[in-house]
Amino acid sequence: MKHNVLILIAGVTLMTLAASAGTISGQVSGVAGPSVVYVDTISGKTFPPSTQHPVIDQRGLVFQPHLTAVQVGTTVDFLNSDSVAHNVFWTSIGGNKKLAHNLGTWPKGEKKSFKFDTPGAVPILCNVHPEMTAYLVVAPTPYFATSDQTGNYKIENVPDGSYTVTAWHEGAKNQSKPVAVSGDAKADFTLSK
Amino acid sequence: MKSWSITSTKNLVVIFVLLSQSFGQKSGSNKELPVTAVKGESWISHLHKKFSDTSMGKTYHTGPGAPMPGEKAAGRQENLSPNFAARTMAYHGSDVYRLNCRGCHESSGHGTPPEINSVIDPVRATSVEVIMARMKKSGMNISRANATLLAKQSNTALLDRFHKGGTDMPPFPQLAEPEIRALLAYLKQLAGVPGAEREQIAITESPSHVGEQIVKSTCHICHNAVGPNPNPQQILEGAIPPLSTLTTRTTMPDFVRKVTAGNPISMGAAPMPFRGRMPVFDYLSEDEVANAYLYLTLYPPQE
Repeated sequence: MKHNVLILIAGVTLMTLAASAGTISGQVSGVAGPSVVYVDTISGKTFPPSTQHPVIDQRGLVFQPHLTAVQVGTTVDFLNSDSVAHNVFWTSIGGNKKLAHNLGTWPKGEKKSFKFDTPGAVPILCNVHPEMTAYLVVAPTPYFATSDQTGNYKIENVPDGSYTVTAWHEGAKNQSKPVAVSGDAKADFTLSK
Repeated sequence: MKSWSITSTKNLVVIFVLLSQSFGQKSGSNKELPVTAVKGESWISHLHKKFSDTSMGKTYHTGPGAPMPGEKAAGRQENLSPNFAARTMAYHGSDVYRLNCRGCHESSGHGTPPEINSVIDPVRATSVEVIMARMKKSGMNISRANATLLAKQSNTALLDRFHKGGTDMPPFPQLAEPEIRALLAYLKQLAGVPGAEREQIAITESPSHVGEQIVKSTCHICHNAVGPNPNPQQILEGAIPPLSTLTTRTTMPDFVRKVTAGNPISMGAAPMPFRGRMPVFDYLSEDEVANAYLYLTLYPPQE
């Protein structure tokens, strides 16, 4: 008997959770390759710091991966796996040049870490090898996703509510639109460079 | 002292030329490193690379083939300068590059990626003007202060590379500060840094130090310093004669010819002359290669 009650409670809890959160999905078109879609700042809401610790590697004179998305407050490790010295710097975060930073130049096998406390897109460059670029998108909320090559994306576990959702793509203008989440929601974007 | 009166005019001309060179251009300080013997295993042995699997030290010129049986090898007259072993060389960074870097990075500086990386981008990264122009072009202007910081860090990384080497690149402790400065100036010219051609630095080099640079930076890529003298069959099977054996295996004229133009080598159990595998270094002068031979004689290679 006790057992059945527990199962009932568990079931009800799961149903409640399922009812109060959904996904935002859709497609980003007009541009080629992956984009990042994120829920913008929600007023009055703060989030626990991210436990992610992603790595952006420099390997074969290429940044790998080319595109990384993180929640604001995340520390990113910049690794050098090449046998040559690399540098990492950026000239702005979200277009703000005051947030330009130079992490330095370091040899193979070493890494440097940086905590990104301001949301926005960060173009990552290496001064030693000017053809190398990568992008880091610092999302203001934990609700973000990187699309596949054809632009399809899915942001999971978004609580019901009304949000502004923004699509970012390398070299394109950001596009934002209001999205009401109640269960599953759809949002398509068409970006232009 | 009779000879003095005969050659005095010539000597004075030489001294005058040397003096005018050192006063006429920016000159490196003459603080010299002592010349030391080449030591230890070759760089490709150190990396556990096979000679056939690497572009290091390769010029992809191999000289003439061996003569057919019954044919006589083409005669060749070496053309050494009189007194070459006592003459100080008036050099520039381009010569430092030739003696130390070109064997792997080629005359263009591009190397053979991915094994041997280009020097061009890491050198351009040391120029404030290049960085600022590049960032402006990409629409991400940066301040001169930030560009200067980036350039300084790239310069430190480049100097570190010369002094400490990398995973695949050997260090160059045989280069003294004036040589490094002359080399940096030339690398900037090679990399197309604006105005670099006006910043070239003249240096003077002793004959034995010229030989030392060639041996340590170029020959020692593939030749171990010491080891047993391989027989023709071992040579056929891929043995590379150690540097310690070269001055007894060859005469100076043969050595100069082998390095600068190619010369057949005996290979096989029933030894026959073959073209051999050694690249030809036609960008080295006969005087320079003769100095490498003298250096190997005067400073016998060590374990």
